Amino acid sequence: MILQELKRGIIDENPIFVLVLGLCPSLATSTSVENAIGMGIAATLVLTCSNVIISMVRGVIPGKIRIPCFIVIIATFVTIVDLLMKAYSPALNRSLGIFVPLIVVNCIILGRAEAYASKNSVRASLVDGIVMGLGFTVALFILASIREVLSANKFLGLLVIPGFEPMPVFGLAPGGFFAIALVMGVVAMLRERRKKA
Amino acid sequence: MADIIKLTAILFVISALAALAISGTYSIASPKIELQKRREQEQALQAVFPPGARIEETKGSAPLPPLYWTAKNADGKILGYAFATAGKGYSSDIRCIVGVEPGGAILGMKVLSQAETPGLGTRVMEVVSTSYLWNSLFKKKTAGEPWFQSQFKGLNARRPFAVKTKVDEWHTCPPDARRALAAENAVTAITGATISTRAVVNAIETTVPNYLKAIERMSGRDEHQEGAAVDDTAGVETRNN
Repeated sequence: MILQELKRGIIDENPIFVLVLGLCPSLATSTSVENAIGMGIAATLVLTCSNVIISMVRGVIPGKIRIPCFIVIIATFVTIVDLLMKAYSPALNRSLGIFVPLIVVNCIILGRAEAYASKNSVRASLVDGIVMGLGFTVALFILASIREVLSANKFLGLLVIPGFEPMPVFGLAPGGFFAIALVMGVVAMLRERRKKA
Repeated sequence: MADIIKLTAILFVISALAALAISGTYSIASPKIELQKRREQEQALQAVFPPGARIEETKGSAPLPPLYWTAKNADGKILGYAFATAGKGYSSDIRCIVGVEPGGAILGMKVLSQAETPGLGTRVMEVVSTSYLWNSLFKKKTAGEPWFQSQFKGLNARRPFAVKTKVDEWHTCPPDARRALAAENAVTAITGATISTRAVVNAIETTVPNYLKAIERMSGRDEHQEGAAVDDTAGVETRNN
């Protein structure tokens, strides 16, 4: 059950490579592995909590105004997390602080609220938030590994291959598209192959 | 019609609750946030002045900022001043603290806060490591320096800065290339678009020279009005100039 859910979040319904959600922050934060992990953790936390809250209030909110309500709830929640982090954990704020404002506009959060949390139980939404967040983190990690090594010959800020001439374009937006396209292609190929088999 | 009113009312209630939750959190968190900012500022001050300097908060009146800092050595001689300043970056105000000698030579520059694009503008705070991944798996990691901030040290804040793009970044430059950059009063940019770099450069250029001039005028006037006997620190400073 747990393994199945994990597989769903990381492979079958991977937010970036399969659902193609949240490309904008992925492009911005997959330039280095450190950023990718930071963004992944921050997004997972917010996604899990917002899924739980949305699922709790799903009976109360009328269907016609659910989207603005979700946005208000998510933005409120993110702002509160941001304030608390600044006040009580300056170290965490230094490493994750820049990603938090990006999360408000992250369509994965709203996407999962709309597609899953508004229709499922609190417990199922909690699990969905965790596995989807992990899927997002894994996808960012893969993209960032490719981009950081190719663009700067570095991994986590440390040099990798002696004498390798890096390609700076991979650190910029076009390189982000190249990397996403390549990985997405490979993932789609594997899925096709499995469907045939 | 009744439906519209009902939906509006519900959305209003939800927004009001959200606003209440945020303002509640803010009123609890804001004093703590101020405290954290002060602590950060103190650490930054230690970093922009030479070690062992006595740092004093100084109240200023226009054109000086309401608060700046004066560093003195053990004998009371003025080593320099530090000013907090900010520049408009790509997506945030980049706040920094600059320590300068009375003559304009920068003692140190420290970025306090920014929210630039991760991977691009955030590199104003970048710390570069030159060790290889394989080595660091076995050996202890050596702490790098925040090179973008370090390269300001020794430049003259009273002269305009040059911003260099398409050159090797400062942290990869050998000592003689660094000296050449310093001779041109130049910094190497962190991105090709130089938005975040120029934000920091402008923040210094538009404030620090004026502040220094104002302090000079002030200490000159003090001399005239109060005579040599009263304020001996100001006397020491002018004699040194």
